[in-house]
Amino acid sequence: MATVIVLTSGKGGVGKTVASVSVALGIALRGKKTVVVDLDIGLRNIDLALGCERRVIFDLINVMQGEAELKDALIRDRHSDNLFILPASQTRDKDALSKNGMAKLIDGLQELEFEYIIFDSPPGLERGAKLSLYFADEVIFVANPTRASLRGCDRMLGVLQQESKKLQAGDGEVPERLLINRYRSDQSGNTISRQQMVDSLGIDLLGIVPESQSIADASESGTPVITDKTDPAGAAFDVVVSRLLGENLPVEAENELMAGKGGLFDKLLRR
Amino acid sequence: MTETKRTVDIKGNMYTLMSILLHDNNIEKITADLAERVQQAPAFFKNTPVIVDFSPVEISAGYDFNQLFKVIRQQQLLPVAVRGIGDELREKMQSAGVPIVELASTSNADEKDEVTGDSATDNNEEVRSHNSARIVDRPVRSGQQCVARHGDLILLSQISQSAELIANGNIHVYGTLRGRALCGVHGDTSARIFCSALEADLVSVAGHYKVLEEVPAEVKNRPVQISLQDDQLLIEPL
Repeated sequence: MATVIVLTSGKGGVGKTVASVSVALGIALRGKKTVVVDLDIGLRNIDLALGCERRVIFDLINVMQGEAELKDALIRDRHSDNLFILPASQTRDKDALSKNGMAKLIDGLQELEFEYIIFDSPPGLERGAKLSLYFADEVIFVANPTRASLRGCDRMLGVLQQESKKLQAGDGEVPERLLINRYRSDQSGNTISRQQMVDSLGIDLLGIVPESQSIADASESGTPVITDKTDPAGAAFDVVVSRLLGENLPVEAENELMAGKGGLFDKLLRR
Repeated sequence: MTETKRTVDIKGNMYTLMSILLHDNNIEKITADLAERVQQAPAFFKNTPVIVDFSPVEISAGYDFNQLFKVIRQQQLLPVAVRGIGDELREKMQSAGVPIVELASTSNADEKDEVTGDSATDNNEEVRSHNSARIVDRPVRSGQQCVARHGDLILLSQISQSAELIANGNIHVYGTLRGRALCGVHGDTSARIFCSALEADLVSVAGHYKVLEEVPAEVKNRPVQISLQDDQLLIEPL
């Protein structure tokens, strides 16, 4: 059974796509067959983040409406043979998404023996966001250290409770974890501290990714930041992937990670 | 797919209504006092539906309700129902077509009178009073509303900013209370709010509300209770 991981946020621009591609590639680089699906219909950008924009022929909506075979629409990533990309449609309307279509898509991906399905959800309360939460086995809430972003996540946590198929059926838990993005390593640079964020949402922390110019550069070049583990953001995403795959890295370690030299980054690099 | 469209839906809703609480049955006195109160904010009261609450006073069966209602209407208030009247008056009101509402803080004796039945009644009462509390063990998130219509609201997790808690009875929060909490919404002035940490934006007991732009230092990050005393909201550490 494939695990469906949804990355979501209340507000746009917090780094969902960057996080989605890095998480997806990170899992793939550890040998798991993974697909990352762009659900932001009409505003496709995952192809850019992974540098495959010239290879997009069919998209998600083509597949859902039976205009293309799933295996023809999947694009193999150039960084890992285990990673596939299903781009969003740039031309269609987002109303083309349906619950049936999503269910069929997930079944189709199961048949192709994917182990992880990563949904890059559109921000806010759009259909794509609600539909992905309906099918989620696990949700990553992406937030920046700002109050607006936090409130957005809080709202989405409520939406998850209402939408989730599993939670509504009482069929097990849907782990919900927080990924703080664009965190400044100097505490004073953040509006809200890490602890305040975790306390106010009351969910577990999956990881903290520091603010870094390398993220913007990586997105522009189409190579996710996780490929460079000497980069603080890249190393931070690697920790996130480890935690997602069940490794029990202590959160305290992230203090050191932020501190830089002699911290977790150094330890990771020496491995 | 043949679905006949209904012309009518019957739904339960909660409304906040003002009530006129009578402390005396003398019509002249009421007329003067009411006029004085309304004069303070005529625009605010204009065409406002009100419930006339007789519970604090003794009213004889021969009381002239029509005269009282007339006085109230003269002040541009609209009596929509009465409460707190005895049994013999109840019939008189009902035959006159005046709706009677019984709210939560009415004494138990009245409620029991309405329950017809035998010895099983007591057991049912007990079951009902246990069920009347609503227990929520998940967090209440921004944009969500959590309502206990018949009694206490007990929340085992945290309450987020811009979430809303509404209870007829008390509200107990075993986490940090952010957002809004309104207890005793049917007018129970003895209702209270309890929480392990107070960071709420707004708290209210029986319609007396307080906006907390800042949590008072002496109760910050401490378990507190909020109660109504002499029409004042009291926030005190536990």
